[in-house]
Amino acid sequence: MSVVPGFIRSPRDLGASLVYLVLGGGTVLIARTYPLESAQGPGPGYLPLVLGVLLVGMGIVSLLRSVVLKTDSIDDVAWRGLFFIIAAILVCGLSLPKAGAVIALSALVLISAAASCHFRLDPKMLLGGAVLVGICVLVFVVALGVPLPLFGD
Amino acid sequence: MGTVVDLISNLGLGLGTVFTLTNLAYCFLGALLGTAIGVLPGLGPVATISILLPITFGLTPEAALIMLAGIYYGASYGGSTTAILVNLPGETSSVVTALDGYQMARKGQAGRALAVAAIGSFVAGCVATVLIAAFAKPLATIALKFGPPEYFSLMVLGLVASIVLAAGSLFHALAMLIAGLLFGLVGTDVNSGFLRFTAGIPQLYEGIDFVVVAMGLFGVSEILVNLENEHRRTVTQGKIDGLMPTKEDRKRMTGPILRGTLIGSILGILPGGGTILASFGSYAFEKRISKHPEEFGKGAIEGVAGPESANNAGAQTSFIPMLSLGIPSNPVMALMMGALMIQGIQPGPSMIGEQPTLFWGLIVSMWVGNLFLLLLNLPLVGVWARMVTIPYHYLYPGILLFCVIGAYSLNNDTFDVFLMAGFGAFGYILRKLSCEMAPLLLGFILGPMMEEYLSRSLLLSQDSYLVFVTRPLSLAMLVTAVALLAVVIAPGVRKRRETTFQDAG
Repeated sequence: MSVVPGFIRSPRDLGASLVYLVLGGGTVLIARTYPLESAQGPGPGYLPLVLGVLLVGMGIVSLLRSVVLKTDSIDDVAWRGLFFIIAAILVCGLSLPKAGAVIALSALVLISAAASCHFRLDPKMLLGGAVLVGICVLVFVVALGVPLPLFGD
Repeated sequence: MGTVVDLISNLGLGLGTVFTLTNLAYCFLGALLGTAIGVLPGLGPVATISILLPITFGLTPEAALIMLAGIYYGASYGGSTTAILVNLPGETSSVVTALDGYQMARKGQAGRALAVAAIGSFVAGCVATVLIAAFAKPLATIALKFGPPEYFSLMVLGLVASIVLAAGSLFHALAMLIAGLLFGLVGTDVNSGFLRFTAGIPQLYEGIDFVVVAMGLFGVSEILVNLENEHRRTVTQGKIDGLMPTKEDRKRMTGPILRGTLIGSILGILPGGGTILASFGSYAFEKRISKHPEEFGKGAIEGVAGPESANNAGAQTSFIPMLSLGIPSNPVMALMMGALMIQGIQPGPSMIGEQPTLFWGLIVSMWVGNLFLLLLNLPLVGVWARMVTIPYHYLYPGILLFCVIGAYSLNNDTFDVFLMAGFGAFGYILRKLSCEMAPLLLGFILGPMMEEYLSRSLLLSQDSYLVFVTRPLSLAMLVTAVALLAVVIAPGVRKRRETTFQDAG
């Protein structure tokens, strides 16, 4: 990751600190509004608050670690894969109720396959995808009875 | 004497349960499916079980558990097969098998390596099954005396062990644990009925579904990881020669198999990465006591026999805490627990008494399943070898399909599908940051349970935290937890731990 400034010797700890600070900070902000005491001892907000504060603390420590410790750099992030796979799942989920399983699952196969560098929009690929969707529909909907709306509303 | 008679009659009950046509069929199907999917690169036992979990919803509890267990050790074995044949470990504990197994394959000895792995796993499986049969019940009897403070301390011990036994940085494992605890708190608080972190989304009122987290964190993120070096991945294969181990082999592998079984059985019970630590530990041990340590890494048969046995033994004994105490020692056990709970069964000390057919049926099915594996794999090796060469880009859309349908089928709600996508992305980020995910999953499951036991303990003791140290069992467990932490933080041990995990690349 070339975006990381030079004085950061451990990008991993930097990334991790971001995760911890966001998660922990968010938790603290929300848990503060929950009742901390109750008639029988700690209220529902108590444990989340404690954990959130702990996580924020660890986020700060991680930030310090990123400057002090040296670890390997983060390499080879599959940005294209990340985009296509997540997009595929989202599109599938969004289209399932209205367009039905056959279309949604086909979209899933098509879009996710595009994540690979071997992807070619050719008849072989389309046929393979159709077979895959067909098998899944047969196994899951017909044989196992999963109530997937096949063709939507 | 009475207990031996008990044991035999219980095993008889188990035999009767397993040897029905349906249950035998599911056992076989589980082992077969598990191996087939475990062989496929990029799918480990956790992902496999997560994906196939929804299929078991319509089965009887016995059939479901028998099949899932079969899938588990089948997938472990499939992962070893890939590790030996193409140096692509199907799951983390196969990494060790690949060290010497692949070297043996390159020398044209793949058949022997595979046979050794199969035999070692079978022996270990048999022994471990006996251990489970012997120890699960006494353990459950002790656990019946547990009150909320003991359960709480036990879970603390479990979580501490999971951090300690995690492969990477202790610091980040702890952070992951806390993150997992937080995710587990989403939903309705058991003690007060208060809604936490639900942002007005009704699907979150019951909390985040565990299967969704598992499939996202392990299944989807695995696909993302595998999409990284696509062009760089070459699949070269060793030839498969003579299948049977030679006489010399048999002499050399007996020791490691027995030692590996022992190591694996003990480490499998401990929460955390039981099977991973078991195979690493066995490898390191065999190397240390070997008369030819320089052979390790170049195709030493001990380097396959020991870890494989340890691996399988650990996989089986990790059922013990789940079945007897209701505490999962690793993500796979958590999935099994989830499957049981969906069937309406609460795993725990009373389960053995209330569901003897289920419990003993499962135990016996493990032995039968291991037998199936042994018989299946020796002839089918050629088929697996061919499956391994299927290009990944043909496979993963199918994997994704299974995951999506599986997630949807949990509640017939696309919300779970979106949640899975979220956890998939999150899991990928965590992997890039080298953060261990097992503590997160364990924290997620044990968190709500711990909070409940904490409340009940405080209720019992009138708000006094001293209750955890004044009760002897509870104190013992907390002391062990502290000791574990101290041992692992101690400088000498820490160095050794890092090099052990570095050895395997």
